Amino acid sequence: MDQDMTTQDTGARQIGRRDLLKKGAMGAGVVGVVWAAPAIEGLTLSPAYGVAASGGCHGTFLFDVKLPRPSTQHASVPKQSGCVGAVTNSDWNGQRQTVTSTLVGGGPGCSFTNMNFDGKHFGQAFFGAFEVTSPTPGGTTISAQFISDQGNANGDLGPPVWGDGNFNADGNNKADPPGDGTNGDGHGRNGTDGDQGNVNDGIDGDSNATGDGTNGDAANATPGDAANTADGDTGTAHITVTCL
Amino acid sequence: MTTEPTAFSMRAEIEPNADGWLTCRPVRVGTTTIIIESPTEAVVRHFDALLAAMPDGDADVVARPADIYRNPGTAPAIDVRVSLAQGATPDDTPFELWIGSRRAVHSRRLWRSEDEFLVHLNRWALDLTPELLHLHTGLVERDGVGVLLVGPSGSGKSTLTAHLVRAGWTYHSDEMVAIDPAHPFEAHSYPRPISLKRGSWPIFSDLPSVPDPDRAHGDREAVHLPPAELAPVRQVSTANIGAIVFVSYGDEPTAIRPVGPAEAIEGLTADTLDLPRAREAGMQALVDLATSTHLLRLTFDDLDAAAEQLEGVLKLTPVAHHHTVAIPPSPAHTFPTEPSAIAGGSRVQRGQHVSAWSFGDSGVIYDAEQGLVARIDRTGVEVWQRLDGTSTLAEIAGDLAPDTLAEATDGVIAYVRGLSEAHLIDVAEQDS
Repeated sequence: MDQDMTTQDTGARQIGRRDLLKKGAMGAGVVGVVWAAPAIEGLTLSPAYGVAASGGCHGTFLFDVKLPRPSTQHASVPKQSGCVGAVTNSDWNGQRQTVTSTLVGGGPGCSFTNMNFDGKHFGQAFFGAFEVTSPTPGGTTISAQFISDQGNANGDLGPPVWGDGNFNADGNNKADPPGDGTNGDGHGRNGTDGDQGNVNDGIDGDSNATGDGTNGDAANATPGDAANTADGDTGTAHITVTCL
Repeated sequence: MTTEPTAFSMRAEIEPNADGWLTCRPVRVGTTTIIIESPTEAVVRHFDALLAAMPDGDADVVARPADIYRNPGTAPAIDVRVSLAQGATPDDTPFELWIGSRRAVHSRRLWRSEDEFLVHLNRWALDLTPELLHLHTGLVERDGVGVLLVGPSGSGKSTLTAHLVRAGWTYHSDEMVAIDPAHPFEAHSYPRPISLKRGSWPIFSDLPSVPDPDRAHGDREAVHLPPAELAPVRQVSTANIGAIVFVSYGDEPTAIRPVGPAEAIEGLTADTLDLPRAREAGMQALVDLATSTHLLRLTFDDLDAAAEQLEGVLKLTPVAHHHTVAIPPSPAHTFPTEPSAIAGGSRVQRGQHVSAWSFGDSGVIYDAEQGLVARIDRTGVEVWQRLDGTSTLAEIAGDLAPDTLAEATDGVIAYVRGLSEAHLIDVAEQDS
């Protein structure tokens, strides 16, 4: 190996020049000296550590996780977004809801980068915004507390509505048609929402029943969020995962 | 280097471990043992088959939970426990893949656990051998000649690898090989199961693991082939690299042509996995490889024709080492300048962290700080060698082409401005 040789150590200067001139003359098809300008023929950046491997999971993935308030005050909702999964747990204590999400899959480069919340607390006929305490991003779990602001109820009162499962995600508290008080009403109405056949059993992939028909996708679909929203407290956690 | 075929997936009995779970044959990545366990015998046998070509791990190791996800690039001295559990009623309950203390997959579909486990296996192979330079390439061997198959995802690497293995080549990897910069011609194998993307399934539809793409779940992007489905399984560890072949599947008729060392280094650089970690030693290893092996580009539209071309590579005479000149960085840092300010009176020197190699009619420049590789032509090499801060660009042009000084000076200035834009040079002095 000539790695210790330098320009000064070799005959490259002389060889290069002679060859250069010869090459230029031949290229031009003339007798004499023709200059062949120097050129950068390619620039390549070496990939960052581990990036070139195939089979990884890269990009930004958004989760809209509907979080019901069942009688146990606890809900656990798994959900898949692309190659990333997350299990989101919701625990209620009075007007305070603690939401914690844990990454499932996605690979070593994935971490939470954001969590936010839309929802309302109307089990007691109060409507209000939720205060969102700041979650800490950057890990494989993310946690936030959402506090029902009943004291600032905006007067948009109405009869308690529950059971329709078609909760507002926009916070205007107006669009919800009253349900019939039975669980699962929303399940039928929102039949195109794959989550309803999916999230409650926690099995990813069922909502994408593109259908070999042999895996029992339809048979495995279980009642969705709507079945758990009878008391009316509900909301959606918006979670962002970034995979490098 | 290979051993005689073995049949790991044919274990007659699988003894339960102390917890009552069944355990796969321990496999090794670097010095770390990976232990997969499951209460379900079918799962254990399936993963045994998938990993049949991987080297043996330590059967006596006590595996502990692994958590190396947040620390890419580190190599914890731990052994990894992977648990694959399924409920008592398999038709209704999901698989859970636990890697250490972390649930990684919760799904009815075992292939999701396969996908996830193999992504982690790739990562462990990268993280747990930090002393090696890792390339995102395939590697097959025949008659003692190792052939690196290089190309981006979708170039047909894995498909061609599977075809070659079925034709009798020894399988070393379809995904990654590692080289020791001190011994760059000896590639370290990584014989994970070959991953075939959906588009290749019809070609291998006779294999038991390959599903009908029209009936498979829409999310399923790849199938992982137990190596025994292609050929008798051989445990492999290393192969001597005799050729580097850049592969590209497409509509063009199958053809193979030589590639220059600078072009090869540029291509290899794009498929390194940890060159920022290996830096100059890693680049020197790529230079050594590219100057001592056959360098070829294979375009193919037919697998049999491609295999025939590669059979021909085996018959080539081993390459004598190309003459290479290493051009050192500048010893001292001066200051960068605006590219537009560079003129014929500028005295320019190579960047302080920038190494280069000349191969006669081409060269490469490598900036370890930026991770940047520039491929330059013959004249570019000549100019680069002269950028030592002592001569003006006009003087360099005059040295190279005295009869066309004005044109040459313009050419050198334009070239050096390009180098400056890539932050590869410093300007030592500006003549007025």
